[in-house]
Amino acid sequence: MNARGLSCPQPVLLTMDALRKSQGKPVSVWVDTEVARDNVIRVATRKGFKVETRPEGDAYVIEIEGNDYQSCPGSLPPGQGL
Amino acid sequence: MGAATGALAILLQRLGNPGNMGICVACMLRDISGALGLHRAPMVQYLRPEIIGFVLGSTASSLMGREFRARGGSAPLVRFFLGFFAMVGALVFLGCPWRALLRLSAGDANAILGLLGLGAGVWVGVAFLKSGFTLGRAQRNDPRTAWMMPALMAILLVLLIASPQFGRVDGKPAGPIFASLQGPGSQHAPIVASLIAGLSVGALAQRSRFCTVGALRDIILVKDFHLLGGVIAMVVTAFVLNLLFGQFRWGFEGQPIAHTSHLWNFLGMLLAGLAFTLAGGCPGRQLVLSGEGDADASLFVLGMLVGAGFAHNMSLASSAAGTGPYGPAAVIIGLAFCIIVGYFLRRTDVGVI
Repeated sequence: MNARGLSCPQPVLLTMDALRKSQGKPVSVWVDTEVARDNVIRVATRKGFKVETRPEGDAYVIEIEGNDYQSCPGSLPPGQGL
Repeated sequence: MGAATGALAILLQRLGNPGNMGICVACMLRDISGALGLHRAPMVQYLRPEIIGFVLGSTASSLMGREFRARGGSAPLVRFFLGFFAMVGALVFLGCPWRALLRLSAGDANAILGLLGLGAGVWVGVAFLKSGFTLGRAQRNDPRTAWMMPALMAILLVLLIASPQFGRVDGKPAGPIFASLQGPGSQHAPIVASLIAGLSVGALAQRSRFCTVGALRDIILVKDFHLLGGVIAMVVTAFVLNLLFGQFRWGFEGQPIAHTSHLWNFLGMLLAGLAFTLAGGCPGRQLVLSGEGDADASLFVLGMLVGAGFAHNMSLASSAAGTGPYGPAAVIIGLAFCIIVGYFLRRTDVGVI
């Protein structure tokens, strides 16, 4: 999932969208600002996903481990918020 | 960060800034627009050092945090006009989101209408974002171009201190650079105090990502309350200090630099909130981003500067007496612009690599 160069809050929105569609498969998010990186990490962590981040050239790759979105703690069912 | 901003705003007001306008990004950009002669409203002309400080403080902080980076190219012209209309809306209400909060903290009940409008505008903007609205990707630019906005602010600082007279009236030197002799533009804290406060707020805001619109947006969008703390801290701090200084007065009537047209206070801020949300942040945040090397945010700021010129040249801006003759029409046009932009710039393939 490529969120490079997108302004807030699109990286977060796209991440949530990707996680919803991932059906338990891991998701990689590419961002290129620290703000976007921190926002994506915060939201994914709060939803109970395990997150690993690594710098990649002039971007960051955030690996979000596979998890069934609907069964992870603290998440809302699809259609209710994000 | 929020508490510091609230405290510094009250301090600046005690040192001479206008009522409930210790800090206001919209009013202060409007005063700069006047100082440069982009409008000729004699009461609101002053090269506000706070704005210069916000940008340069952010530059210093982002250099230290290794976040100073040239980037741009995400629908620049759309952002310019979003800034333009955001300013029109803010000047119909008389304040940016920061000043709306400061007005509330001093008991100005008109601010409630403005903040409700702001919330409504953010809500509409979030609806567009959820349905795929995007201004597209920014690209990395040549690192040296990141210095454009800080350099512009440094030039403004030189102009403030030297205050040259570029104009000629009957052959005699006159402004610009203008500086009001009466009215809000003539009320200001000492330059050094304004500059230091601005630098501090700019640096803190850069570190903390402080953003009033982002705070509302994240609550609506992802139930994320992390930015709201700063906003609440700002209001509470300013409120306590206003009480201490005996400046708290609750009511709609007779508030400093405010009018009581509820509908246009609401709709003016609705326009501003929608434009800020589509552009990705409140005007304070845009200034901070411009200091980090973000050319897109810089264009939004320049759009605000030009919008302020138009707002006062064409009787769009409000005053304590009420709305300007063409303010309401301009708000409607601005809302139409934002809705057209929000509707047509939607995509479904944004995140595809």
